[in-house]
Amino acid sequence: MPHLPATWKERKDADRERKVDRVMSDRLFQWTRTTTMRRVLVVVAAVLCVAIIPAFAQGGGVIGIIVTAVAWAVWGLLRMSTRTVADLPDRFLDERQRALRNRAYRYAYLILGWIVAGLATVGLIAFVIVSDDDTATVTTTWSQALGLVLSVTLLISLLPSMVVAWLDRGEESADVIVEVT
Amino acid sequence: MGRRSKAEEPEVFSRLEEWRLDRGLSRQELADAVSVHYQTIGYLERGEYSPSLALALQIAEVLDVPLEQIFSLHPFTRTRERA
Repeated sequence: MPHLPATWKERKDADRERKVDRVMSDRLFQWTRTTTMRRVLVVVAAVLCVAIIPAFAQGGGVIGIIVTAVAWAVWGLLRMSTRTVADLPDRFLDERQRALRNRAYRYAYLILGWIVAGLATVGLIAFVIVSDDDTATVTTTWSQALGLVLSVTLLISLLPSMVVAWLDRGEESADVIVEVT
Repeated sequence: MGRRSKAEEPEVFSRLEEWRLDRGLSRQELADAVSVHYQTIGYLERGEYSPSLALALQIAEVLDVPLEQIFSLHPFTRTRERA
């Protein structure tokens, strides 16, 4: 790693701390932080991850780009909904948030692993069925390949936040109200 | 070494909300004092999260109450004694 000037690094760290403080105390996206809304966002994100492939393959570039843009917007909402807990290093999180993030990464790893293993199994079965003399040729268009790559990239980016959103209890009003008597 | 399933883990009972209100603190103020997110205080008050020993001691120090008056492995039955 190249040596960074202390002042530049300090400025960058301070800037990041300000951004994290803003997200941790944010009220603008409070509507995304109920249990129901978080779960709706998770389901929508999962659907969009899959929908990107046919959107590019059959709908063409414009529809594919629109679906991708919506998916990235949902990703942003999920991150704000979970206060970016899945993406932050230890020093920005308290002990409960760290435990939640670590649990989410374990589940995300298992889910991604099973998806990859499932797809590989389906691919192997398809290969056995369609192969001729132990060889099979896969033909794909540029749009199909792009859709697949974007789908996988999006899934990898989204999954930790999706799991955090699913596991974490929503921030109900009782958590937000300042109830000094 | 015997292993316990999650269901067998001891439950931690909390009287945090009672003491926090007694001290006139909001969740945000207590959270700031012990460097956690205010949502974590909500989890602790509802008994949905068991704090580390360090956090529990910090909370006891901020509230100026003996630790065992805030968290216990047994349900609180008696009327709270003023610290």
